[in-house]
Amino acid sequence: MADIKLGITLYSFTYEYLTGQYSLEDCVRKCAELGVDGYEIVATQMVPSYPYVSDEFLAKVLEFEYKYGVRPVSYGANTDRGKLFERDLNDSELVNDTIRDIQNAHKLGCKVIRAQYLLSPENLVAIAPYAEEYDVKVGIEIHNPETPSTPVMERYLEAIEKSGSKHIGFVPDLGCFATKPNIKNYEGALKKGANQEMLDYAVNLKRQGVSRGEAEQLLKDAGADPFVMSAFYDMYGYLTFHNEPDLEGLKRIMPYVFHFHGKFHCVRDGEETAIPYPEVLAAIYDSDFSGYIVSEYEGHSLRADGLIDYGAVEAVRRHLEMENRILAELEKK
Amino acid sequence: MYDKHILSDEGARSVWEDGRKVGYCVNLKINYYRGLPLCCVDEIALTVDGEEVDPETMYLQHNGREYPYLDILKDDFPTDFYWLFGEKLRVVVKKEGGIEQGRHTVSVVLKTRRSYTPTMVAECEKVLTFA
Repeated sequence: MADIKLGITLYSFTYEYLTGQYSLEDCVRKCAELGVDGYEIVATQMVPSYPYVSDEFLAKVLEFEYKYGVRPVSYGANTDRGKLFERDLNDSELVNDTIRDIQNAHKLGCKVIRAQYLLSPENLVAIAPYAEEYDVKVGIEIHNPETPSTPVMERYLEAIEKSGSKHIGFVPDLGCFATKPNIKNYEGALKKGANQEMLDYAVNLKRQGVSRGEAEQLLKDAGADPFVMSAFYDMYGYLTFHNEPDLEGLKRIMPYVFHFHGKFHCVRDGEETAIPYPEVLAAIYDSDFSGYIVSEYEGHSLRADGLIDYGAVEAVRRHLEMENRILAELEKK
Repeated sequence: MYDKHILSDEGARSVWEDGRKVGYCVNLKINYYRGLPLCCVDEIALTVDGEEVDPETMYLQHNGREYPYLDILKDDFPTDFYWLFGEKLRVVVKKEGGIEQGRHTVSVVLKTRRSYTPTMVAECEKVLTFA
């Protein structure tokens, strides 16, 4: 049975932070008020001394831990391959940047780094000795449209298994298990004026496994409006969904999973509107997983779009409540 | 979601030197959910009261340093100076006499380069009050 702890990524408070409603300290205090003891920090978003962690910033983090009892458990890293205008960074430059992220995470006391797939399988293996030295586990994020079984992730799995290292693996984003169109995608499109019949047609094409190119032509031939088309492109991209969540794929990689992104956009009537949390949490619960699922609210624009009438704190509260309810039910079984 | 926030309502003013107005400034926020190195800025195009600002007269102030705007577009600009999420990047326009105190219509086009998505273009127009 798994040892699951719940946390929050401060990315959830993106809108409040951007608009100056919350400082970093406010974000950390909200985590405490929401009842978790660990948070994830996206370094490029909320570490003022990035690409380094200054002693001054570390002092702040420790002060907040002392005051609120909440500490950073995971470090969100970005692989900025496109820093140069004339060419992409090469492998050794990307490895160097990642080693610096490992040192940053270590300094902050984070045991986990969420890395991005621009760090190739070979480069992930190359940084393993540094991950071991600093005792920080580096996981490749599995984000829509990837799932644990897609070819890209298969290549990582092969490399990780072959390396024998316990310090490299995966950070699945639960959004990759979505089985319905996203609320922003579907209800947002309707709100903008999309034709519902046509939108449902797009959803059905995706459900029937029609290829992107073919579906695009069919929709255009049928005279789909721009709102339907925009939703359609999302359905085949970062907001895609599948008829069945890839839980078999998840089971296969679980020995190398040490952290989850609990992606969500909207929890309504105790359910995430697109992601089947009961099934997904049951699969995690039945594994040997030990670590955090951090709530990752990505509905920053839903309120402005008139789809919901509350902010990030209430959104995260609902998400944690749902997770706690599902986990308590699993406990009883 | 970020477009309408890229032009800050705060800190628009004339810039004074030795008792003279030598220019004016506005503050920008990044059009992304996180920070990027300054060298990832592909373009900042500023229009004030319908008139395009000459890029050669634009300077960026960041972390206590000032760079000619055109310098950050060069290939050899350092990659480690991050324009942070939510942080104000001050754009100074050198212009004798500065800007008249009061309301002016300012529009900005901001293009930033990402590692895994195409260059993102954000646009924003606001009436700002200059001090």
